[in-house]
This record gives sequence, C-alpha cells and structure tokens, in this order.
Amino acid sequence: MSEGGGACAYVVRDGIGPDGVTAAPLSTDEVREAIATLTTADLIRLKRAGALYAVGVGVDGLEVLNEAVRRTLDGTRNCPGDVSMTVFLVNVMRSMASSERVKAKEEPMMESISSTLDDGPAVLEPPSQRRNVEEMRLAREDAEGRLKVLEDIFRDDDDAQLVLMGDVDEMSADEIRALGGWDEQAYATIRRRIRRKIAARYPQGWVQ
Amino acid sequence: MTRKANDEAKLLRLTDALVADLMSLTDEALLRETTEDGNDPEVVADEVRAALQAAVLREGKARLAKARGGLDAARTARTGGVLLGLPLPRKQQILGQFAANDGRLRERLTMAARKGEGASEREVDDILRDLRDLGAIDDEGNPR
Repeated sequence: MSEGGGACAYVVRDGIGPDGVTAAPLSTDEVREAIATLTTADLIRLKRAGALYAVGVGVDGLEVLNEAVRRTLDGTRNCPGDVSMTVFLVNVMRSMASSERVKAKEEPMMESISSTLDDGPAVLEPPSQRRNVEEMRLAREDAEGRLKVLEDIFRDDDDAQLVLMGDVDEMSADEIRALGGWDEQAYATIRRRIRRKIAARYPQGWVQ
Repeated sequence: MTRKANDEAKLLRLTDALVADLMSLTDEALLRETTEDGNDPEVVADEVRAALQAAVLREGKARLAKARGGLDAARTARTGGVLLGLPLPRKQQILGQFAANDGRLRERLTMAARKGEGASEREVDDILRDLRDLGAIDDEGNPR
C-alpha cells in the first residue's frame, strides 16, 4: 500500500477468503461482472499466482485460473461479497493445489467390483478422483525434482537459499529475517528476487 | 518415501510464500516489475482477459445446456407419458394419418428421413408433442 494502494489484503488458507467473512456470496451475474471489471494489475497478479500454483496441479497457469473461474461461476465455490475477486480466485487456486497434495498423501483407491443390491448385477466402480499409485509416484518425483531445480537456480545466491530454506521449513518471516540478519527492506528484496527469477524461468507455470 | 511426500508439502509452502509476496505488491510496483521483465502489462492482461472471457462463455453454454435439458424433461413430463410412451409403430401410424393431409408435416418427415432411414423416435416424439400442443391430438394420440 506504500505506493498508492492496490496491494491485495491476502490471507492464505484453504477456505474462501479472509477470516471473519460473513457477507452473502455473489450471484453468478455478480461474479461475471466482477471478472469483467478486473484491472490490468489484477489480471497480471492472477496469471502469476496461477503459474505458481500450477506446480501442485500439473497443468499450466492459465488453466488453473480458468478452472478456478469455472468453479466460482458454477457455484462449486462461493465468493463472499466482501472479498475481492482477485483474492478469492487466488485462494481457490491455492485450494486446488493443496487438495492435489492431500490426494497424494492418501492411500490409492483401486477399481473394485461391487453391487448395490445383493442379487443385483456386479458393477465395476470407476477409480476415484484420488491419484493412483503411478500418479502418486510421479507427483513425488516431480516435487523432489522441482526442489532440486530451485537449488540449482539459486546455487550462487546464499541469501535466496536461506530464505527458501526458511520457507520450506515453515519459519515465519521474522525468524527468517533474524536468521539472515536482514531488515524488512532487505528481506523483501531477496524474496522478490526469488519470485522474479522463478517467474522468468517458468513464465507459464512449473509444468515445463 | 516419506521424505518425497514431504517434498510436495514443502513446495506448497514455498509457493504460498511466493504468492504472498506477489499479493503484497502494489499495483504500480507489479506493473513496473512486469515492464522491467520485458513484458507489456496490457498485452499480458489482454491474454488473461481473453482466457477468462472464454471460460465465462464456456460456463454460460454449459449452464444453458443444463437448463435446456431441464426444460426438455419438464416438457416431456407435461406432455404426458401416455403419448410418448406409445409403441413406435403406433406413433408412426398417428403421424402417417396427419401426413396424408398435411404437406408441411409430410415435408418435415421427409427431411428427417433423408438424414437416416426414417424419422428417429426423438423426431417423432417432437412432432407428436407439437401436435398435442397445437391441440390436434389428445394425450393418447387421437385426433381432436
């Protein structure tokens, strides 16, 4: 907000918006209207967030964003009236990336034969939406590979490596700053350097 | 195995941190950063705008198709199960009686026949519905 506003009040969570949301959800027409009036900065922000969250979903960034829009329009997700559409869509994308990760932690569900009636015909139940063994293996290798790529990208940047290490170990910003002895400005500069370098390497998302 | 599974959680945590940083940027800083990265903000925004408009359009069509399906089902229910539940030969017989004296109906049946070996049951049902809605036949297909 220091440069005239526009930064998004953003809270990362699997839910739909900032804590304390009580407003009624937008109607489909209101959602359409909100999407149609997104600003240039909103659209760029959404594209970049989609590219980042694409890592957990396995498609490119715009596809993640499109899916978030679809879920909002068809009522799968409801946007509260007091949450900005940009923040809401980012949270939906985050939720999609998170649920992909949760699926990976679950045991695989195989196809099974069952019947709804004792004497009814046996039916082959389709595999669930959860990932199968092979998909889970690939996802894990994928995540491991991407973390290694990040190590490579920032091999010559000790500060960036330290921040990344703090992020993956769930350290707070204060803890990371204390670890590196940085003030807020220096810390923000390092963090932006990391984000921009990753964005330059993977402009459409981490699917390449 | 456990270490690899944790890699996905680590990656998500890292992504959260990167997105939080992105969201903390002011609009001005974001536009400036986009330009510094060698991209025209308006071009990038137009690309996203077009993708979102396409998504909205697709969802609208899906919604329309769903509504149309519901309307068809309601129409079928309203028309009455008796008429549409008649055997196909009986339905064709009813139509045949009308076609003999109705040039437009004959033409419609001929058009349907050209598309296949004869009017499909769906086409027959559509015509019977129209006849019933017009009051030409009753629920059992008898002329009024």
